[in-house]
Amino acid sequence: MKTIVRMLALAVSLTLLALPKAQAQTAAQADSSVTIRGIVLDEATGQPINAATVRMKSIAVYTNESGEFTLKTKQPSTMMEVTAPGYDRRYIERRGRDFVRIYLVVAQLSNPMGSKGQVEVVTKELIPEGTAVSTVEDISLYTPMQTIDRILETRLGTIRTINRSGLDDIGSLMYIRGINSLNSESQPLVVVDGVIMESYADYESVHDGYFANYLANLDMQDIQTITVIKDASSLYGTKAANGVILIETGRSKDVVTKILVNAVAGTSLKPGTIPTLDAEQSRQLFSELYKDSPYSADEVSKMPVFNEDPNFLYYNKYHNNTDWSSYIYRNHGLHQNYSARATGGDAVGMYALSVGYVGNKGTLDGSDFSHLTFRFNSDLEIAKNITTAVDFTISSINAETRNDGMVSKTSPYYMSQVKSPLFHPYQYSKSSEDRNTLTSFYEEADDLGINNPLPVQEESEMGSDMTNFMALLRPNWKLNNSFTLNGLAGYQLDKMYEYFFTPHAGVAPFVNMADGHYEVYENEVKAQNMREIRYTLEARLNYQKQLDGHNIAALLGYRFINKDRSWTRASGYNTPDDEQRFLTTSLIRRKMTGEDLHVKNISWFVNGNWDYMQKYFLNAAVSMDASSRFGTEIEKGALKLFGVNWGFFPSVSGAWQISSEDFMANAELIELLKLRVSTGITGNDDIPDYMSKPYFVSHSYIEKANGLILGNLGNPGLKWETTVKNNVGLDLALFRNRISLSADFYRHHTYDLLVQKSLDPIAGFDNYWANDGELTNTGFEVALNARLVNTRDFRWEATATLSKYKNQVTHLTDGAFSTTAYDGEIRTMENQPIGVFYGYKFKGVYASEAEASTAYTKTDGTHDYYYNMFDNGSTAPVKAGNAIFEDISGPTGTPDGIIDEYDKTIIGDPNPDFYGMLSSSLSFKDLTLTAVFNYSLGNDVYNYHRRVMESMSTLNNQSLAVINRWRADGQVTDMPQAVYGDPMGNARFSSRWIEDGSYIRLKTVRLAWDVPYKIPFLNDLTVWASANNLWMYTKYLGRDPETSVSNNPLFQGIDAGLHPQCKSFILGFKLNL
Amino acid sequence: MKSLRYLFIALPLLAFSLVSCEKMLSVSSNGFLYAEDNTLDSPNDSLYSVAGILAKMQLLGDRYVMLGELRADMMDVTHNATEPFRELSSLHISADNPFVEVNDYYVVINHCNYVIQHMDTSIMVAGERYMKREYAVAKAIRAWTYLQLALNYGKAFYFEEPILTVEQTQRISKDASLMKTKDEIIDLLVDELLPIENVNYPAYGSISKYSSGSLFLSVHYLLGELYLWRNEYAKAAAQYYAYINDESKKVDVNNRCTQHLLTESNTRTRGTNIYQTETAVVTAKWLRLFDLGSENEASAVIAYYYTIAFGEFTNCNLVNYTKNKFYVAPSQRALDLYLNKTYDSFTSEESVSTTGDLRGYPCMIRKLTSNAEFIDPWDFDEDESKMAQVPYIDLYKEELGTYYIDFYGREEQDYVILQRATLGYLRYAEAVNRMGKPTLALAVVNRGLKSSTISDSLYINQNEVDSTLKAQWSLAKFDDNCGTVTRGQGATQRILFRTDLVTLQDSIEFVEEVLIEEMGLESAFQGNRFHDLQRMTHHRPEANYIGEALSAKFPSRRSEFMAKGEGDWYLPYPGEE
Repeated sequence: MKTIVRMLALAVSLTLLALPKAQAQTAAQADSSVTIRGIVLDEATGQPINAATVRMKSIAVYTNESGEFTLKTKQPSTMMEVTAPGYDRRYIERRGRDFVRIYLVVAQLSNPMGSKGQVEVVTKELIPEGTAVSTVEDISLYTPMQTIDRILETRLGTIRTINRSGLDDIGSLMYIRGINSLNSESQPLVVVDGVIMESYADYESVHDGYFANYLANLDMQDIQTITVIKDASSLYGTKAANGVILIETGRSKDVVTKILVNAVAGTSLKPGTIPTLDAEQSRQLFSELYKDSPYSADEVSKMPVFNEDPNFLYYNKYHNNTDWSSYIYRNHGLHQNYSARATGGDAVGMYALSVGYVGNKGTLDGSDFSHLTFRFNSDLEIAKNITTAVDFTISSINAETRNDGMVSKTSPYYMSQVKSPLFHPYQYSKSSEDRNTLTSFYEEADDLGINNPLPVQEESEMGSDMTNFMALLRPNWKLNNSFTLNGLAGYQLDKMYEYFFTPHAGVAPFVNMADGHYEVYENEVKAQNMREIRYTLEARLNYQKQLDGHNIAALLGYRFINKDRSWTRASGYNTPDDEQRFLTTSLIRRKMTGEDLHVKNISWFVNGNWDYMQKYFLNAAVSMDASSRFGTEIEKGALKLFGVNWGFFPSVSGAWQISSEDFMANAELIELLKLRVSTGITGNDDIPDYMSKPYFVSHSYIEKANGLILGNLGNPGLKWETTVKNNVGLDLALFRNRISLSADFYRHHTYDLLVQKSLDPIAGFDNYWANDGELTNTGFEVALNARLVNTRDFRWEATATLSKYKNQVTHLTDGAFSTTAYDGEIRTMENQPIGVFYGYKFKGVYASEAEASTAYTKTDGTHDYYYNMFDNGSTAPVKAGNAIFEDISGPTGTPDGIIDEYDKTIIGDPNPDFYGMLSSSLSFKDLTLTAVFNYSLGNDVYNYHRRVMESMSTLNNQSLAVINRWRADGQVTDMPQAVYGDPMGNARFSSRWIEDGSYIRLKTVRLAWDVPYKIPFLNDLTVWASANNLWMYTKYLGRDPETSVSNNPLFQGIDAGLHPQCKSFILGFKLNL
Repeated sequence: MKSLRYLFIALPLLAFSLVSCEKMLSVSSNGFLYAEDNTLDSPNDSLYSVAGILAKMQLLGDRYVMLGELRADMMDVTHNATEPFRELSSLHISADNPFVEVNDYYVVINHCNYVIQHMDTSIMVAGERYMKREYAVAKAIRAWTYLQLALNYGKAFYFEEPILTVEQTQRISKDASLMKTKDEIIDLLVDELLPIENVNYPAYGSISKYSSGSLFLSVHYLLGELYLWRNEYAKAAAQYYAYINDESKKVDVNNRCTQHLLTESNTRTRGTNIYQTETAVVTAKWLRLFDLGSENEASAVIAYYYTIAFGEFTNCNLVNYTKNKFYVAPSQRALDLYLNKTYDSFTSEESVSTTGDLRGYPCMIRKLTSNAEFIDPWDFDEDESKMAQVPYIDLYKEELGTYYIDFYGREEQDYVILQRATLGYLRYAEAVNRMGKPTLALAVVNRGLKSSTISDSLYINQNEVDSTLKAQWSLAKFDDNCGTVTRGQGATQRILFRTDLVTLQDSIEFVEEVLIEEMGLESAFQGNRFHDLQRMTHHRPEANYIGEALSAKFPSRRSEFMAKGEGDWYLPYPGEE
């Protein structure tokens, strides 16, 4: 409530500020026509530009050969739009002048800041001037391999994007201005042509390390603009807490038929791997580990690995030096992307038709995919004043996958890292005569239980197919000059089918004794089907009025969304043989799960925009949302109307374009100066479905019967999360746009966080979902663009962005809690950011017994060992060769010489201190060389991959780093000794595995040549080549510090060894027919 | 014209706004049934609801046995045991011990409450208030569950309102007046059960391998136990007799251990080695006393069923605790109790005499490796030399024959016995003994109650029996009854009154001690021991049977145990210090 009052006060004061002035000027300028003269010149050469268009509101004139124009209007505005073929669009403020000199710049890399006012926003949303918004247009200039999340990473820089892995279509996590939720959706809302997309962030793939990336359904060539709204000024109330990305697809604007063809082909190189021990080194490690294993010395000496007799029948099997990574990677991947787009039409109908194909052969064998997209956008005139858009889209993604990362025992990469080099992927002949001959038969899983990656990679059958269909009708009825009625009816169908099969061959059978039932799992089959249908109905009544310099726009809208999702997953073990790779009735441990989910939303929204002479802007908007997920008895903050609870999401924003003021007439240095302020409330309705009402579910009872059991305890008070967003921004452009700067400061406060709270046991449920808890995100975003050189032939433009957010959990009712992931502990606690790592502080290794035995100084001055405390309460002295962990505290609050739970502390924060991008664009004549870097500073990464490779607690092969392990008294090293089973917990979750994940990466370098020659039938031709991920500077020891194992923000910054981003080289051309 | 145009705009907008938003936003799912739609007004509804309660009862099986046995004298932890088990065994039980959680009890109670409140008992089918039967099932289960809470914690929240919302949970949990003591709860339960003591239970036929009747608790049996806790012996005896008579339960002479010792042959095809020993054969057959498919002694169980074909099931963990993980084992006290007995021939055809009560074989001599980690039975074939003989409990998980024949078609059933015929007889004996009929009580142990015994003054002091009693036990259906002890120790008259007993009270106390031991031997490791000892102590506090029994398990802690009063044995109630 306080916030609403504050916002109203702001709105009123902004109005008062603007109005008196406005009235005074209105009186003076009423009913007098104005003549503006000017000249349009090329900035580089100073030459006049002929046939440039100068537009003020609806009046447009062209420049003559001398670049001059004269514009007469009865409705003067302060802003002129100037366009000319081959030049960047410019907006010129009149500032009371009668003569203006206008310089245009040859079109080049679009301004990555893309702040509003400098680019055209074709989106039909009323995006007010005070909004914190970023826009990208002309996507097709960029490497068409990428999905839009990666475009935003390289174009905007102010969105924190984290590639989930290096697989080409797996997408990125996007965090706009920090993390605004603990347990609910934290990804931005994506709206394509007015229709809300589903993020599928909660979709659980059957493949380890694979994510469904719904953005891969959009072909880059179809995208016209991307507008990112970062503050509260959207009309998407309960869905906008994480920001909104509005995407407009391309439509035909011209009756002339145009054909655009893109063709791209390229290759990627296999990624680096963590170097592992070779045969001799691993044999040495084995011998040390066996010392502490359950095997006796006699048994160990008889092991075939140590049998050095070349006449031993199986000598060959155990005496290889295999580089396993060479078997799982191809040397080169192959990318292909072809697309064609035709636009045109006539007076009645316009169309844009496009088809696209992407084919990808990944460097990791078994990561191939193909995309096929088809889009038909049309605009029809049905009657006078009535038009409609009719759009269809079909896309299909077929991806082959393999389990990825260091988690899955059937991940080829995992196996290639931990499998001993002593073994070979193929069997040696078993006959004693030719036992040195390799056969073509795969070797089985080895004696240590590690599978053979080759058959797993080649005989597995895993994949993910996604098919999407969207049909859209957008009628538009112009009622009169002031009123327009817009409608939208959208139908979306998303289908996902995933299949999974791991073979028996080469894979060690998994023996399950867990529940006291002896079971052997040989091969495994899974399949998952998901279908989601969404209907969107929307109606908007728009009002527009221009009067004496005042522009008023308002709209009243209604939106209804119905979402139906159903999914089933089936799995089982042991098909009759490896040739049968599908679900059969003969499987054991058959499991079927699924859900039938339905969600409905209603939203009403009102928006009012006012500006005077494009100097003063004011916007107020309110949306009112109701959802089937909300409880029926919400106590606070909801409006009960028509039998349901409504959330209420107002926002106010204002802007003052100072540079438009007449008093700026002589400040020619300043091209643009604008102050923006906004405040408002948004929400997050990602409440687990059906949580507000009690229900019963079916539960199987002794196989033959089904019982009804209570599946949920109702909480009718459940509601959305609320995020209040405040923003202050400044846009500044100097020296005829040579330097431009956009800066924003923001503060988000989220309350009513959806959390699980504990409950009295009498209900029989441990926890329930409730709204409790608060967090804040404060930060800034700065984008600087400089056109450093601008001559006729040579141009250089550079951009830099710098962003920071500080995330802090400010209130948790049930106190701090830990979440375990990848054997690590993630702590959620008050006054700390989301996702911090919690564990022991690693301080090295005791070099000598003398050092270890005197490490702890008691209160009486005597010395002793530190002691490790184990789960069963026993202790053991920490001797030489073991890890040193800091003794931080004890039961009495002071260090006690015992290393136990009390010594855990925060050891890392995955949130970056700063992040952003740098880009440079150099043009010489028709050649343009662009380089884009992105960076992240100060983010910690939990290197689980390294932990697996350096723990030395099993007989797995380890990384080369372990050759520095402690082996003799006095040896100074930070690598502890190798002990089977790691009884002293040297490899426990500690700061030993937390690394600084800061990096700067040359994301892409691109050379484009606009072929200047006239070629028959071709309007223009661009040939380009790009190289991606060429260079990275980081101290991070893993393969790629940019990784995310999960869509859950708690688990950001965990490196589970997923496929890293690889170097790739791409050649393409683009032609217009 | 213009106004017509606005009408066009206004109409759809109006239509949008007038449709009730409540209806527009209502959603349902094929995945569940809203509580408001679960009306329980048809026999099918009630069947599903009862199955739901039984499914939730499965969560209580492990705990019933562990709380009932590990806290008592006949079960002990092994070196494998984790902290929660160690705590139970040593009776130093902390509030965060998972066995102390009460959630699962209240889940069962809450489901019963829902059925009891919503069941439409007015529906008539074939002239009977059909759903009254399920209503009674739910009431009996609720009573049993409350009794467990009361006995374990000494108190519980007693409420009959089904909890469906968070708000209800918070309201009820704050209402201190709902927290009742053990005695208050027992009184409430008696009042609850008396109106339904003669209601017929539903007969669903067989579910899986179980007959549905064995899944429901007998109300008479429950009332018998409640009256025993109130020291109302005559009422208790009447209820136990009603249970025995209604269900025609007997201590069948045909189910003696020796029977199987002599007749069992090896029919198994895999893993036969360990079952070929004489003792193992006894085990296998002894367990079939409780085979739910045939003439059986288990009259109410918590049933589990497991098949490798399907992924989802509620597991009985007892086989893990007793075998695979080997957390718990027979205590030395249990071994002593069994081994201090002998078996002598029961009939002239037999000529067997051996050390120990044969009923102890399930727990006494089974093969485990020397470090007592579970070894798959198949491995025994390979290397018997690795094994030492370690006693362990082999009561849980009766593998069906298919296990050994077809690995892939494997299915198993398991159950925790809550009500048992023999125990019904022994509790009947407990009641009549306290009524002043020690010879009648002892006859249950020695000879079995039947026409030939009841009138025979050699075994039963005829002053203790009247014509009603005689009529009760002269029914032909009891003719196969034998003394409970004879099935493990043979001979028809094992236990004689000591000669030093002077008064009737002496005899009663003597028989009481016999019964305590006999209950232990007969129903070891089945979950009854701790409360049996508590209840006997409740009859005669000065004897402190429970303190004595635990002192036998931990001789060094005798003074601590003997000093404990009735209220000192309860578990800490979660959330309270």
